[in-house]
Amino acid sequence: MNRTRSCASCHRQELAFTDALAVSKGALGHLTPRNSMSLANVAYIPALTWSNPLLHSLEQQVLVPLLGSEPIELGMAGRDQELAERLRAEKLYPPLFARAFPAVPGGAITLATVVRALAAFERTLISGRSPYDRYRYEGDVDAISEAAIRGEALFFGERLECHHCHGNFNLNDSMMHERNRLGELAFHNTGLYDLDGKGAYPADNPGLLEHTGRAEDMGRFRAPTLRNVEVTAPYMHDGSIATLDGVIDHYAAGGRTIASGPLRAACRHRPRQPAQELVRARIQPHRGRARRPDSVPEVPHRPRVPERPEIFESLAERTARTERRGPMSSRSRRTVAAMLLAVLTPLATFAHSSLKRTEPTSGSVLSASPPSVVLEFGEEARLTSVVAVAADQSERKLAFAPAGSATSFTVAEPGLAPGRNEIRWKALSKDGHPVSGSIILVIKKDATGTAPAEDTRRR
Amino acid sequence: MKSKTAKVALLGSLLCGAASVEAKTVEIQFAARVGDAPLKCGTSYAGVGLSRASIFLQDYRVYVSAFRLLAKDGREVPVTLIPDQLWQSEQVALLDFEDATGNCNGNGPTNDRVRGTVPDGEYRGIVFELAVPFAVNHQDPTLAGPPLNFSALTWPWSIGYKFTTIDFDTAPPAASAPAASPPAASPPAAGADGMDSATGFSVHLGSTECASRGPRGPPQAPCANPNRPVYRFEAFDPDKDLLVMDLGPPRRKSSSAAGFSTTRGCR
Repeated sequence: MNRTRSCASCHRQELAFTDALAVSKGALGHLTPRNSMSLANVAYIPALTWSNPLLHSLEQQVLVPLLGSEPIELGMAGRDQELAERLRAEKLYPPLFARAFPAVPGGAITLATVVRALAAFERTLISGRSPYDRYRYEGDVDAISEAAIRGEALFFGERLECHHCHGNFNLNDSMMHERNRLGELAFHNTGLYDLDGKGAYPADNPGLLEHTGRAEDMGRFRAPTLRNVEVTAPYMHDGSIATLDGVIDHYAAGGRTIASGPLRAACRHRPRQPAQELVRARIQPHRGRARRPDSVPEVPHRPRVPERPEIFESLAERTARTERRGPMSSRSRRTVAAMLLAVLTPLATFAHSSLKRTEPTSGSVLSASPPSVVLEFGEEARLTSVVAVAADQSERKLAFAPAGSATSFTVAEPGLAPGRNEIRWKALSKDGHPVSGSIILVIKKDATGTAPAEDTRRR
Repeated sequence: MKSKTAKVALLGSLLCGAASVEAKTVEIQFAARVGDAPLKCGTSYAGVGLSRASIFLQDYRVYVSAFRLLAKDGREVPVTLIPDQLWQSEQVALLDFEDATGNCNGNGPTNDRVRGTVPDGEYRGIVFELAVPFAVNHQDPTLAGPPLNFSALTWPWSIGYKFTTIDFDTAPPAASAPAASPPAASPPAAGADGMDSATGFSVHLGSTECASRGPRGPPQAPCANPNRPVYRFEAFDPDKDLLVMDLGPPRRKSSSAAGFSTTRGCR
């Protein structure tokens, strides 16, 4: 409205289209209640912003910063003509609008065509082919470090469970695309506030409840993508955690304690809460699989903090390593490194009675397919299936023994293909509940470039 | 004030199947005031509301719909709105009391009346809603026809329209300490934030809690908080009377638009 702000004011490309502020600022200096979200892969998000289940399309969402008055962001409400005149005055735009909107007489620049143009642009903000994508989807096992691969195993493992909210290709859990037309949409309360002992969040940010009015939706927000997460600080819906380490500490503590001030609260008195959230995430349909809540193993009341893993990579080490790359690959690489830093940082874990140990351990990088894979459970179980998913997403059933109940099962000669292999297992626990999980084993091609199992790679 | 009355033939009433029914046009007139003074852009009004603040108009546009006249026997007779490609469609009409002068946002033209037809007869009262009907409230506002084509009246965060776009600059009462007003002295329906000197005071009323169930599509069911206040005046002659929206101190039986009870939806 006063030529001080653009979309890019709050969505700066070098910050993965965020703005480094806790909450964003409008044209008149008013603060929005929430943190600017990354626009990476925003085309796939079925409900936009942190917690608005009504904003289904970018065309709808664009109107919020453009026209919204609570607070005023770009402040263009009622200034449609001014908006059109300003854009028309830029030589670049009239011919482009005429080409983009042939059905609109004269390619008119109107609010309707402007929001459609903005939405179309946003849909091109695709984050892909990062080193992690090349490793994960293209079989380039050298694209990321071995430490990062071990971190991935933790991230996608059942011990830390990060992937329940950040598990799809966009590293979140709300997604819609042509092969998933129904879409998946999830909101989570991660225990940031508890102002009244009953879970209340600050009035300007109640989360999903603002739109549903349901008490159980208090404090529920959509999990953001973790792509480029290293450059999107500060974190959380209100930017209330400054660093990724702080975010991890928050999840490790099982709820945030705020010692003083108007938001004083100790979510810590509900140590199980994040775990319950994870349970909720698990019982929601995830990639078409519904899980029974009682199939989730017991969670100890006191989180156990493990020793600092030897694979932890310091920020300095990581920066030194990533800065050797060019600007684009460096940024992409940092995305992955940051994600993995998150899972490599000391973290309280919840013991699972299901899978106790595997040989090789998940996240191992091997020079050849191992002679066997051993899955060892904490108590007797009956393994029902083991499937190897190769880098090209091809699936292959693996034979295992024994067939009945046992604590240890062996897959002999799994014949794993070079690249990333996900070994997905399913079992029935002693009391008959289905449990499942996966481990990640990466087979590097040998130095001569001939992989021991090259011919099995495409089945 | 007086609206002219005319008689036209209402062709083929679908509802009753009658071949022809005598109909007449009605003009329902509104006015916006602060106490006894007409509400105008560029004028400051002192001592308004329970907080006795001064207000300075920025915008005053409200949607009205679902008009019915009360017949002598108490029957509610629907008023058929006459679309005019500007102020009213068949579903909803816009009342506009800002003329873009002074500190006002908006545009020059104003509108203080709603035009429709009713079956000929005598009427003694009126019922209407201060709202955009659900059926047209959740459409794409960039493609909507008049009078839902004003971007300043959209409520994009809730995918709908502000039924009342009433905005003021405010100043605390000159004589008393500005920050000392207890919560009870805040303007109605706006809470403590209502007197924020940076943003003034707004009455933005719209439907809330309209969450749709699936990840796609507009709300399928009525919103949990429709926030569509119904106004009913038992003694109102559309040929003679005027509906006054008074922003002065809230009173019983007032038609003040600032008097809604729910805080959610009033911002």
